[in-house]
Amino acid sequence: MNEETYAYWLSALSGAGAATCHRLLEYAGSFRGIWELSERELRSPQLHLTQQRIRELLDSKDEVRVIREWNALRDLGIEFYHLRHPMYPSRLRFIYDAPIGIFLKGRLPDPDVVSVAIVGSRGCSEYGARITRQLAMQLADSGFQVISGLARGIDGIAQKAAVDSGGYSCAVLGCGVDVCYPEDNRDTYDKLATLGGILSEYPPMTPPRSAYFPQRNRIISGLSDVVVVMEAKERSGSLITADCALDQGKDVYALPGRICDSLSCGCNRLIRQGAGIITSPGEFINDLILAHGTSLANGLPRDTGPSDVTDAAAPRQMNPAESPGTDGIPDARAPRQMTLAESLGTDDVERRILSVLGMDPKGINEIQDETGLEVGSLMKGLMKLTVRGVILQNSGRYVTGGDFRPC
Amino acid sequence: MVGYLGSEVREARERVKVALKNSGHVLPARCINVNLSPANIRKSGTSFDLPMAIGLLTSLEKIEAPRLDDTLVIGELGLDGEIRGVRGILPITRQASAAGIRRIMLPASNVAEAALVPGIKVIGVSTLKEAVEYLTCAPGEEDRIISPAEHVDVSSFMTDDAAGSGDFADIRGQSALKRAAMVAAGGFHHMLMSGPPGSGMTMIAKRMPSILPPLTPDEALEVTSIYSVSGMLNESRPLITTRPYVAPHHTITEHALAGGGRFPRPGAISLAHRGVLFLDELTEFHRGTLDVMRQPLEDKLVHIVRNTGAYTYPADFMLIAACNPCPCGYYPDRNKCTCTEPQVRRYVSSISGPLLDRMDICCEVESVDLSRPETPESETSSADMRGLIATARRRQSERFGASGVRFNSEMTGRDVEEYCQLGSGEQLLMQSACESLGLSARSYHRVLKVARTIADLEDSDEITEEHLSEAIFYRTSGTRYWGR
Repeated sequence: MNEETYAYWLSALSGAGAATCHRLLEYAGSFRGIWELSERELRSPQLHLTQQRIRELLDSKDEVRVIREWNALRDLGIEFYHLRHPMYPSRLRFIYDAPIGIFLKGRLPDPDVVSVAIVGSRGCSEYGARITRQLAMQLADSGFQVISGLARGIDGIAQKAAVDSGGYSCAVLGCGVDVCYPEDNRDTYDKLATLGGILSEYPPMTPPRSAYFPQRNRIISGLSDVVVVMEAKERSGSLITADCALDQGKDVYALPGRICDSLSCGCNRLIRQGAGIITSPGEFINDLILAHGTSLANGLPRDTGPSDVTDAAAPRQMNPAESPGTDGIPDARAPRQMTLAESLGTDDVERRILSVLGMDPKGINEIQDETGLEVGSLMKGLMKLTVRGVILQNSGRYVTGGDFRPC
Repeated sequence: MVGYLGSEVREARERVKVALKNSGHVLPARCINVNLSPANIRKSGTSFDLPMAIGLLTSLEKIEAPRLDDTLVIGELGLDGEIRGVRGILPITRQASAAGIRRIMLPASNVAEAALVPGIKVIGVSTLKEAVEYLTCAPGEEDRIISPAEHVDVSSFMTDDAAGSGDFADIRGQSALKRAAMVAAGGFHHMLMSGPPGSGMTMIAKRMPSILPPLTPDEALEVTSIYSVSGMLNESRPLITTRPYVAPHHTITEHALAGGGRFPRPGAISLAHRGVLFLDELTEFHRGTLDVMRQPLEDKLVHIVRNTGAYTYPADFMLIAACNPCPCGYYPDRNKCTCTEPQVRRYVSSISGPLLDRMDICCEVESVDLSRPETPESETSSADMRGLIATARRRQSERFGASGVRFNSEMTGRDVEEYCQLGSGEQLLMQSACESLGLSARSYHRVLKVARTIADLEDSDEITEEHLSEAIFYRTSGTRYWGR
């Protein structure tokens, strides 16, 4: 057995937390040293180990089994890097409570490229989902890496958008790297395994447990240079990630929301406490370039639209192309834009419908009250817009399709 | 006594003996055999008491046998010779009339019911003594002793009142939901509402009978027959004239819903025949219970097989169901809802696909905004809706004539092809809707039927894009939950 297998043995122990392992490593000097500790040494008050933990350490020293499992890792295509391994991510190495070893599918984030963690609620709103998708796509297009937890809602949306637009994304799981949880994100999981990375401090086959998820949040923030909270309720796991980021000296950004939306409550509070505010994906990327620009591997961002360039020159000035009303729709008070192609062939009824729709889902009653249209023509208008993809219908409520552009 | 008797029929022996004695007829002290034929059908119920008593008296030659020609005798006996009412008189009388029987002697309390059947002489008797007197008097004197009940025409009962069920004007806002309810009523389409608690779904369902087209006399007799068999009629209300509204609690068993028991009786779905079956909190019903409705929803009949025989009851009802979208009830309002996605999914999955598929109209209900100004005058009332529905009803009866189809929802595939032809614009819309919204071929027909109803409501021969759009909306608004 070599140092790596000894490290694997320690990481695969079910009960030993990162803090315990760090103490052991400091005491024994190396992973091999930990393996070789006698029962008397383990009882040393310096280590303050429980009786149960000592038993576990002693009973698990089955060389044949450890080597068999170690070889099985290879077959599963899973890499293992311990704390002192040269491949171990340097960002992670120096955080408090750094995982003693990490299991990996795919490849690790590039240490030279700026990484952005995008986290948020599992049950997100249409607004959160859309902005997340846009932000992740633009980040990926600009060459940034997106780190998240592959959870339902914001996490999964962000990672899907990032890999779909050809960027790199790394998922940090609260279960073994060979376990896809939640199952809904199977597509994204498979893509990440080949095009991005999937990482966990828990050994393969570990089932997801609620206690593991807050733990993995420190790795998400640890791997990132900036943490962005898209949507969070007052007591949300995403806020744990934000706290970890602050402890680790990382920047925290939050997407603002209306003060009466409980899903934006946590974000707004973060902003009040001094977190950065996301007013548009473009401005956020400019901020990133200003703060980390030189560390970007591919230099300048690629494929950012002209609006971003304008923003870079004068971040507080509104781009005339983005101002509402220019697409010929009267009373465009909602932050909603259509491309020229979409607005072609829009008749009066459809214009009236579009004028009251935004990213806040609205039901038939509401749309009818606000437009004052007859049921028949309203339904026809909605259907035509839906068929063309200009608006989306979900559970009988409508929102505008396409991208939201901040005003 | 022989002849495959149920226990209540076996008990009749004592009742008949004592009743005869108390009416002044002493049975001779010898062995008497009473055979109820055919002996291979199990007899149940108490209606055999009076016929047995009369039969005994006839065989003792106290009554002349020819006096009973073409006569059906029915009734339960009390120990003092009193004759009591029995269940199921209306279907029995109809059957008897059809079988060529010209006179029926039955308990006085059942007369009103039997009088609804034309072409049969109805004799109501209240005591055994009276019955014997009627059968032993001088020929031609019968009518003086008990005058036969006068036939009451069904249509005289048919009043157009649906006052008991409330008015749609009581519901504030929810105009889209009201519209959906009207479309459902217009074409007898099944409807599913899903929304947060307190959004008025139960109120809508309760008011459905008030806008349904009135029962026709034939339908009234059908419905009354079912209620008669179930013993749910009383003397003051011998005929059911309004469409039934049946709202069973969600703890209902399969047998209570579909009909059953050792001697089967109609279940809730049959009691709702030609009317509304409202299942509130649909997700709380046992999945198995809901699934027994699948076959009746298709065949409009329910077949029940017990060891006592096979029974068929009609079950042509309009299913109105209401449920919450998630355990807490507020999904997708993320400010209020605390449920996780899997919880939501598990919650709605208790409704099976085939059942959902039969729901032509799906409605997402939103909670009422109480801050809106109160304008009860402008609310659509039941009377307004009835007007439109009457138009749709007229168009449907003109279209289908005597083909057996009464409502658009009952159209067969061929009918749909014949009556739901689309113009080129509509075809294009339908095609793109199928592609972009993922409508299945099965959904396609159902959408067309609903579109036909909407067109009928607006007295239009053509199905326009407006009608079609609305129908597609009703079909697709539940997609988030059930992904159909």
